[in-house]
Amino acid sequence: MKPADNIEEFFRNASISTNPKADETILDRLIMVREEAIDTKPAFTKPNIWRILMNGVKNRKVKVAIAVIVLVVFLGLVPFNGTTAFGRIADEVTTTMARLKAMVLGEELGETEHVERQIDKTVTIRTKSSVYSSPDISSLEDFLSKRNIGFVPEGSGNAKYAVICPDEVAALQEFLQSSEGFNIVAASTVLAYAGQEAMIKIVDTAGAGTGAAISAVQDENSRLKLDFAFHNGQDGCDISEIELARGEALLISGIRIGQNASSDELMTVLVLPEVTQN
Amino acid sequence: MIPEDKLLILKFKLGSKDALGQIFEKYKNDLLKLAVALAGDVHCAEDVVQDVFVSFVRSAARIGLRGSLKSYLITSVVNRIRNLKRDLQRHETLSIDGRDCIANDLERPEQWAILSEELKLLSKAMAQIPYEQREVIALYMQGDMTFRQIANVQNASIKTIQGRYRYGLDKLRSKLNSTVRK
Repeated sequence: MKPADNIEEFFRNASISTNPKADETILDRLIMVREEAIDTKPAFTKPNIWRILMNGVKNRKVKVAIAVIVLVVFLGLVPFNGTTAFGRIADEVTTTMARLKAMVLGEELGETEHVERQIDKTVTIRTKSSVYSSPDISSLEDFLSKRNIGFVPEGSGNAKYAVICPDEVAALQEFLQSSEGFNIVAASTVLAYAGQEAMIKIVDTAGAGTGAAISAVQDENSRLKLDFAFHNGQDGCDISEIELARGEALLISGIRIGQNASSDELMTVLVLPEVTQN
Repeated sequence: MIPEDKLLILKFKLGSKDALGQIFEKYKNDLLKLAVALAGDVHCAEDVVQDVFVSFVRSAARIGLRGSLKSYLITSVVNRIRNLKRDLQRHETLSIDGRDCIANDLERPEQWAILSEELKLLSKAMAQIPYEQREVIALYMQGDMTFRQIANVQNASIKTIQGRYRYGLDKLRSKLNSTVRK
């Protein structure tokens, strides 16, 4: 078909794509422009959720409804007592608005987060905690606890282990893939640093000898080292050491727990190094 | 505005970088294709679209939640290209054959837009038809605008827009035919 035969179809099919590196550069620039625009504006002109919600709504009844909802949220979150000082109320209002904003953005506001009075400084409204230097994997811990997967304190060092049965692995993998903020890495030699995006390192030791397990965890600077020990002298896995940053997780599949476990009972072990304060 | 765009705008206004990234990803290709079709030059088009996004980011506070985000961005592209055309005419830097921008095949290593062969062909042909007709065709086919909306943009009657579309399409067809014959 010549292009002129069906111009409309030709027009629609004439495609365009972009250079990914250039995309990244341009997006970084846009983010910088946005941050400059926020920083240079006076506080009262900065994005304010109340103003955004109210100005975006024309219908008076809807405006009243929004105001009632905010009031209910506020009353639900702030315990009133007769001696509440004005300063505390102001702080609670700030916190409530921050929570509301976090709810709109679909983010969780950590309890240890310090919320600044100017809540439109958006950089503080993230789950990257000001207390810990490592990324937040509390959503992973919540997921496990909801499925009654308990942690076993094992080994010497700051780590806890959870044994994931074969019928629960699929759900865990689906959770990891669908959750935002987890960077799944399937290599054993990747080093990570505190403050990096939440990482789950996946190691498949299928074919390793019976009784392969993590035996020791050591703390070294801001990284933890996990040493693997393989029982019965059979070592089908060439990974002997993995370094993790605090708060990162390691998922090891293909492990037989205990020397007498059958070959059908290959478990997955999740290792969560303890997160400690700086 | 479609609900997804409304939520993106709200998140963006609240400072979400992810929302900005999603808006950028969602509309960059469409805007680039429109700009290439209008400007006839990929480098002009890249500059225009980047300027549109920068301007969008800077004016986040003023963007309402009621209008269409796509229309806002498309109108920005159209206005910028019109300004560019006006500046080019003012400085009398028309290229050969009366085209406003020479359709540029040269690729730079840092080039952002990657055009298919069809789009290169199309943009060269579009560059050879009068600008008003080019604009109507591009807004109708790439901007997904109705003739009524385009009439508002060009401040003309719907019949005039329909006429520009019909004549523009005829000229485009003959340009593409002659290109293919070569």
